[in-house]
Amino acid sequence: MRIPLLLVPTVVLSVAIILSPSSARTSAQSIARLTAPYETGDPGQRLYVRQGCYQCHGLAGQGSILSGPPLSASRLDDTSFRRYVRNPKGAMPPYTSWALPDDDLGQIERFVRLLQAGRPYTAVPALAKVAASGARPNTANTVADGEALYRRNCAVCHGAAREGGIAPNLIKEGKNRDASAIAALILDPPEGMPSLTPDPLSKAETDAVARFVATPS
Amino acid sequence: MKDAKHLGRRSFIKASVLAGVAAPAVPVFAQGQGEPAPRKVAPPGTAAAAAENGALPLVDDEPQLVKRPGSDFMVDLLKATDTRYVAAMAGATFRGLHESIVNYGGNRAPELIVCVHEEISAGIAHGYAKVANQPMACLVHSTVGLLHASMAIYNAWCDRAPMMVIAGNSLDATKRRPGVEWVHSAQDLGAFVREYVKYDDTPVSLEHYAESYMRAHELSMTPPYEPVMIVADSELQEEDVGEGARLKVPARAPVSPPAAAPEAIERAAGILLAASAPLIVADRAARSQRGVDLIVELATLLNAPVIDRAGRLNMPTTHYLCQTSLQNTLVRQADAILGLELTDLWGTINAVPDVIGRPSRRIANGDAKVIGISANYGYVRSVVQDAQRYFAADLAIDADAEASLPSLIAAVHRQASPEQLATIGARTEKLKAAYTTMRADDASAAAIGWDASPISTARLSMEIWEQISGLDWGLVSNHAFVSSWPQRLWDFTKYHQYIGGEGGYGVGYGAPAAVGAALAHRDAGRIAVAIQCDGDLMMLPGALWTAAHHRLPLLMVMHNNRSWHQETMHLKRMAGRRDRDPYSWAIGTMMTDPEIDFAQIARGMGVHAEGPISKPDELVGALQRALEVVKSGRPALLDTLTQMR
Repeated sequence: MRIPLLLVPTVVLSVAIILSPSSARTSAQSIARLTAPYETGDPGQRLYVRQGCYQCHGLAGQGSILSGPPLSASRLDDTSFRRYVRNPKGAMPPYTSWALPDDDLGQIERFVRLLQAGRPYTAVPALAKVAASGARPNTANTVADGEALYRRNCAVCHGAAREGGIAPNLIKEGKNRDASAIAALILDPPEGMPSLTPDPLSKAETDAVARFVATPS
Repeated sequence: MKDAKHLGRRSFIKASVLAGVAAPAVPVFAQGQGEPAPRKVAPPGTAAAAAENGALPLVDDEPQLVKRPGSDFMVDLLKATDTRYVAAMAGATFRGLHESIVNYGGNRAPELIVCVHEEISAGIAHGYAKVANQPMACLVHSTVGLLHASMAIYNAWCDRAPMMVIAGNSLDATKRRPGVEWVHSAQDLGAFVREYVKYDDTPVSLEHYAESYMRAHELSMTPPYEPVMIVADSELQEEDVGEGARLKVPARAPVSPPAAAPEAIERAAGILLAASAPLIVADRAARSQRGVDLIVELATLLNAPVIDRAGRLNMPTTHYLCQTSLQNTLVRQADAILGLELTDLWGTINAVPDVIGRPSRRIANGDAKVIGISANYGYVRSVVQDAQRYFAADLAIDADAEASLPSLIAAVHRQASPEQLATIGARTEKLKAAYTTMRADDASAAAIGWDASPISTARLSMEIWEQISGLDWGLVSNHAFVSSWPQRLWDFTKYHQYIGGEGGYGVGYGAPAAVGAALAHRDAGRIAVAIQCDGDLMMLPGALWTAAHHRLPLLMVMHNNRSWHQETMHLKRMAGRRDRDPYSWAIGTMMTDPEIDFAQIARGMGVHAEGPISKPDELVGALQRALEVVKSGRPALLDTLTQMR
């Protein structure tokens, strides 16, 4: 008689486990073995690794042209960051609150916020040599200058060719707004768009970016 | 009248192929049916030996010798085509040719490159051809050897690389010994690879072999370059051709590559000159340094930026018009796009993002005129889908790009008005500024994670570059797997400095192709450098042994991210879209638990090795030590633990 009595709670517990979403995460234990070489003691980093974020964005948040954008320079605010992770665009898979509970997402976000943007390339002699190849012409306040600033500060969300991504397509933005209106929008960004002034964009640089965005592509 | 039983071996082969395999008038199998089976195997001894081999010879009998084997003539053909190397793993169906290469040919031009797997043999031939610009022979053992080699042949076919595959076989069924020789023979060996070789033949005489061999060589080296295969029948190899036989090596007749028709060239020049933002996209366009020089000349003449898709090295990265990193913007801005030997013209103009439903969309300007020049327009296979999606170019030219560029350049010169030349010249400053900014942006991106451990692929690439930039070098691995950092950061100025990638993206290309390329670089007095993917090396680690055995100056630096990285992302994408286990992506995609010790594997193959190295500061010393080994004419491997891409 004892054996059946012991079985009852076991069966009930098993049913409960089967019905629970967390029970589907049967591989949590095995992944710890597989990803151990990449993990540090930081709980946010550990989640960043085990959720596979580093596969596309790199352990240093450096990203790759082949997998995903860098995260170390992300200027998304908390709301936009979470909204994007839950419902991303492009090839990135969605992370539901079942797959990535809010607390875990918060830990990952904290880890991402701590990622270093990297030292300036000018501080790395080998990279400084690469950048110095070819004399740089005087292009201050030209469209080309604005394009360079755009690429460094805006392309991660709006796309390298202004084709859109996390943020809207800007290819035809010049038809909707002139340069001064675009500059005003950068200075007073709408919800979800990070503030880019006065750092990293000065007023003059903001104007250069705005002129570039207003130029037909 | 001769019956089949009394035909010579060569005559039998000829008769079999020409008339179908003729059944003997009296089936041998049927003759033996009435005999009682032996009760047990007879013990070995004099009587048994005599029964099997005939009576013991008398002392004054002449030994039976083959003084002029057919395979010697096959070596003559290899020499006549300046074939310097034959990659092979030993196999019985080409034992005659193997022996002739070593003894008759003196194992010099061609020299046997000893391999431990036929896929390595073909992979070596693939890499060699892209540096030496001539095909190497790859000798395979009938069915099993050819099947092993088939993956690498497929890669070479997709990559438009020349290769002479010579496959041993035993067509005459009556000469096969029971058992193994039957399963190592095929009635139509070419069928195994026919969809991805340009030509194959099964010659039934040495004269036939000679002509087919020369035809195959010509076809392999006529754009589009491709692998070809000749079956070397074992009977043809081993049979004595006789003292009086007159075998002639046919003359070589290199084929002039197909150039574009004049009217098409005139139209192309007109479109490019009328454009305000012309763009050149090149993939396997250059076949030599001359090809690179011509692309530079055309680009400079038009002031057109070039996107180098890197099937080969097409454009020096030091030139201000080499703007590959700006490709997303350039394709959208261009109003005329010239595609040169593109693997995928449709995919240059359009995109299919990997999202649910896979919608396709045009990314190029809707009004942009598109010109395609490619020898592939006239060379498409049905089974293999490498033709990519159909694209209706405004001007499609079936011709070899390198061969067509001189006339296109001349046409642009001829048609350009002074006003057009002035407009073109006015683009220079903006293009130079864009190039400078691009280089700075690439350098800036490379700085992120510079001090990270595992080592970032940008750091890895730049530390290698710092050590080799003063040497005569060639990168012999696909740089795409390390985020194209070498293309973005190194100074590539010569055609031989980069050879593209797999072609068919078949994993296992990297290591053997690097070995083959290193062989060609060695002959030119250069060192070869490979950034070697871990998953690729696990396919065919035996390539390291060949590198050590032949003393090849190859620096192999591991891109050891301990995973099949592309697949990790695919698995994550699938589980995410289905809202399933978020931790399951690592199962089946990671090479950890246990971690692979590549340095130990390399040392076991006789290759100098260090590692694993996970700290970037330790790279410089290890690279310098490895390079000393390489400069002394031996291979070296550094196992470096890296970031994913």
